[in-house]
Amino acid sequence: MKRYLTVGLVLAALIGAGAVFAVTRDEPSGSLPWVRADGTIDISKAPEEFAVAGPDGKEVVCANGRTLKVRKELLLGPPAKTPDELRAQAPASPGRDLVWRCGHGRDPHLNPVLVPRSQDPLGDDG
Amino acid sequence: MKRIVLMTSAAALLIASGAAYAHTLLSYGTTFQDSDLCVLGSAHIQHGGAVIDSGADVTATGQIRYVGCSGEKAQDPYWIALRRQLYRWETNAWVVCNDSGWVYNTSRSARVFHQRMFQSAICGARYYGTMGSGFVFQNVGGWSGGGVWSDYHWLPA
Repeated sequence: MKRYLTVGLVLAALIGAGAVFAVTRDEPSGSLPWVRADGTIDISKAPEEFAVAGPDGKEVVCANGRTLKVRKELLLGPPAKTPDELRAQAPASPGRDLVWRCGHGRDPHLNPVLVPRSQDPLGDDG
Repeated sequence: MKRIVLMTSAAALLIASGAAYAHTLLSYGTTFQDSDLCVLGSAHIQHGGAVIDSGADVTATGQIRYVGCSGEKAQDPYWIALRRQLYRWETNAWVVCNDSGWVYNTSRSARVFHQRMFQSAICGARYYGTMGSGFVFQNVGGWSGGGVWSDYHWLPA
C-alpha cells in the first residue's frame, strides 16, 4: 500500500509540474496554416504583416503609439533588385544583423525601415 | 520498491533534461522547380548548452527527367539570395526577432548558407523558429524560390 502511495505521489508531482510548465509557457497552437508538411512556406496563407521585436525583445511601438508592422512581402518575398542591380551596388556588410524600425511621416508604423543593428536608434542588444 | 523509485526518478530526469537540453529542429524542402531548375531550402534552430544556433541555406540544382532534382547547378554571382530570420512567439503571433538581411553568392556557386550563434535567447524566454528564404534568379521568371520554416522550439532566457 505504501509503495502505491509513494508512486502515486511522485506521479502526481510530475503531472503537476508539467501542468504548471504548460500554463506558464505561451505556446503556439499546433502547426502553422502557412507552413506545408515539409516545412516550406505558402506565402499566400501567411499573415499579411508581422510585428518586430526591439532590443528589449518587446514589440516595437512607434511614436504615434501604434505597433510597428512589416508586410509579409518584405520579410518572405524575394529581393527587390536584380543581380545586375545588386552587382552595381554590392551591399556593404552582407549577412550582418539588421533590424526593422519605425519609418517617417504620418504613419511610421506602416513605413518600416531596415537598418544595421549597429545603427539601431533604439540601442544595441548585441 | 527501490526499483520503482529509481524508474520514476529516471523518468523525471528524462522529462527535465528533455526540456532543458540540446535539441535541433531542421526542415528542408523544394521551394521551386521547373523543367531545368530546382531550388532547395533548409532552416534549422538548435539549442545546446549556452548557445543558440539559427541557420538556413539554399541550393540550386538541375532537374533531370525521371530523376527529379539532382546535381548542383552553379550560378553567377548575385544570382542566389538567402535571408535568415529568427521569429519568436508572442501571445498569438510570430514576431521578427532577428534578420540577417540578404546574403548573396559573391562567386560562382550553387549554394548559399548563413548561420548565426546567439549566447542567449535574445528576445527573452519564448518559443523560437528560424525562417530561411532562398531564391535563385532566372532570366525568364526572375527570382524563384521561397521560404522554409524550421518549426519552433522553447528557448530559455
